[in-house]
Amino acid sequence: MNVWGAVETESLDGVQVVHISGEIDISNEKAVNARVMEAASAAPGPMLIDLSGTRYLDSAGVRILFDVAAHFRAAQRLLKVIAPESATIRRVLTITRFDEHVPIYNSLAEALATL
Amino acid sequence: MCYCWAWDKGDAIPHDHGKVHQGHNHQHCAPQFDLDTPARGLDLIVNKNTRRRTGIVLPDLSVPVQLAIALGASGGMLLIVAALRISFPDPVGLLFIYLPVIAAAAYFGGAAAGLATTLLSIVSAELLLFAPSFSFGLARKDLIVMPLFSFVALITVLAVIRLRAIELKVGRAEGRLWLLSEASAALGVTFEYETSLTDVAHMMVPAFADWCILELVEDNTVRSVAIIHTDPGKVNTLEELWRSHPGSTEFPDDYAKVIQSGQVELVPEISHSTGEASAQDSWLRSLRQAIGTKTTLRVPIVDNDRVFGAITVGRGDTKLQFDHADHIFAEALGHRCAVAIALGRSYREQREIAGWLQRNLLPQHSPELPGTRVSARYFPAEAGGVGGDWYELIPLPNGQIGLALGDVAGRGIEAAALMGQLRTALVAVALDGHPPSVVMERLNTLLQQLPLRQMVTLVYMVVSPKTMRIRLTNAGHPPPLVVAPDGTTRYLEEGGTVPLGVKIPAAFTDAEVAIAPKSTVVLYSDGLVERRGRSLDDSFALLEQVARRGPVTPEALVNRLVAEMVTGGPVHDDVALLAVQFESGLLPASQPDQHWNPSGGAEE
Repeated sequence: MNVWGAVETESLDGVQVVHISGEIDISNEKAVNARVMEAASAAPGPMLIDLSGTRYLDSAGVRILFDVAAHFRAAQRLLKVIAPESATIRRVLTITRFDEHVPIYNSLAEALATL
Repeated sequence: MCYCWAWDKGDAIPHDHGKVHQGHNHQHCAPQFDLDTPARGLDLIVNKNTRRRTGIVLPDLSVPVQLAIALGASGGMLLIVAALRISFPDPVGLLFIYLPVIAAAAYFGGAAAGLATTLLSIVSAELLLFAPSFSFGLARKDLIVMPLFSFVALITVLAVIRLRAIELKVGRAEGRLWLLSEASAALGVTFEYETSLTDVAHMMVPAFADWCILELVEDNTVRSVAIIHTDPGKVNTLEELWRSHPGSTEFPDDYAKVIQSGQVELVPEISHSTGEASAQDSWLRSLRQAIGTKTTLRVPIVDNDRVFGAITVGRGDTKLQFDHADHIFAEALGHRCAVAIALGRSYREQREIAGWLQRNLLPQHSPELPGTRVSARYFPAEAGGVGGDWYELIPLPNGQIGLALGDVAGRGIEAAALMGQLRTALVAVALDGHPPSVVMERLNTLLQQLPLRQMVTLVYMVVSPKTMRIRLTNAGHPPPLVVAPDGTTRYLEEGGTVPLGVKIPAAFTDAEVAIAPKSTVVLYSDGLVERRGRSLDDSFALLEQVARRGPVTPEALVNRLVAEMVTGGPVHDDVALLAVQFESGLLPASQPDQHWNPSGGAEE
């Protein structure tokens, strides 16, 4: 993983929350993907991916999100993504129509409240 | 970057000469030490390794100077011993004063100085210490002491001479090792091997030789890459000599010998003799006469029996002849140069293959379509590299035109390979006249089965120039921009779905929009709009601004976009751009366009 990206995982009331901060691109794609999938398999149940600290997301990052979404869909688990409307990466999620398949929330509190 | 070191007050500072290499004077870049005066060489080696040597300098002196040193040392000793003789009546003890002087003379002055000092010491000791006391008679004590002293003095001087020779040899060996490591480093800097070879040739002069010629053999002809002489005034002479060297531009006999056998050719001493001259002898003689070369060494640049050229070096009278160690060094250098050339050539070949594949994967030139103007550009992330972006302009059988621009995630040859497969499939399916949603559906099905499955964003649209209507499906790609002739712009956000190749079931739909006649449709890849620290919305706004800023013809638009959005910063991702303008002049006047609805037109 490059020095600009970091993945942190926490568990809030049995909900896995993955905070991805910095940049996700082709240089750290594999490491980020591994960390996220690790978090996904760490516990059953819903998972939240928090992109509010993500500054840059290119097609490599989008691919990770779609892979995770497909994984959760196949496992019939709930996946939600947090990306504030003001975030620079939010538009990537709408262009790729990711938001039509995974619910996007403005804040962690908002996402947790829906669970 | 040219790999060279500037020597400044003993500190080695690597300095960049920029990219322009022609005409660059390397005189100062050659490591400024000389293998034949190893003290300086050692000094610099010490600097390079930030070690300190305690200032012992071994000069290389001529025989007369050495004899003068011997005379001076002996004279001085004579006075000192004569003075001491008054206070110390026992002469034997005073003999020990001679030994350090003999050793010092041999070590600092050289072999001749050492031997002469020894001889003079023995004579003066005999005269001064013993002769007066015994009235020219030989005492028993004298008979034992003097031969013993002579023997010890001789052993001392020979040991010191040997030590000095070993130190010089080690100094030269270290110098060569250092030079070889510097040359290897220079050769590893770039795949542009001619630049590195020139640098290496500059390193040899004056560190290893007075002059150096580096030649490459290409297509059975020889050409010089570098001709360098310590004395810049003699470079021209050397160059003329090289050119007049029999067959210097094709294989001369002796050259062929070196090149073909891969053997080193060493001329330890060029004689003054004017006997029967072969072609080679005349070349050597003219070297001797024109630039005072005494000894030459020519090694092939050879690796795995492939000969790429040769390095020829020469030394004048002031330097030592090339010896066996020099020969081994030059051979190793030639081998390293050969490896660099082999690597450089194979890199160049691979790059050419990659570039050729890329150029042939992209449309060579846009097909001539009546009523359209087209402009397209492609910038790979790495210069000369390949990528996964592509565009397509397909004249469809029913007079409609298919436009596509896609982006395979990932980089390099893998992305390009998948792109090539998809591109062919897209054209094949599109030519069947299917609507965009069906084309996308088929491509997605195909992609899910391909071993190289990857996420692909793709926008495909079918434009009907007759009706100025567009049907499009956009699989996760940034929206195309329509620029109307009056400069108004509009993004086609319709028809969106997830990218192809993801494991999420996608529902592909066709969106239908109308555009104003003479509008230009701009398709682009995310490389144009994705920038760190800038939101996509800002990029979209910038794209619109740039589009509005001038003429809307495809050439002008593309040039503007390239100037303002591609150049100026490093390109992290491939950028593909396709702009197509549809002329309304295509519409036959007798056939009014039923579908064109001015009020619901291009602008919303």
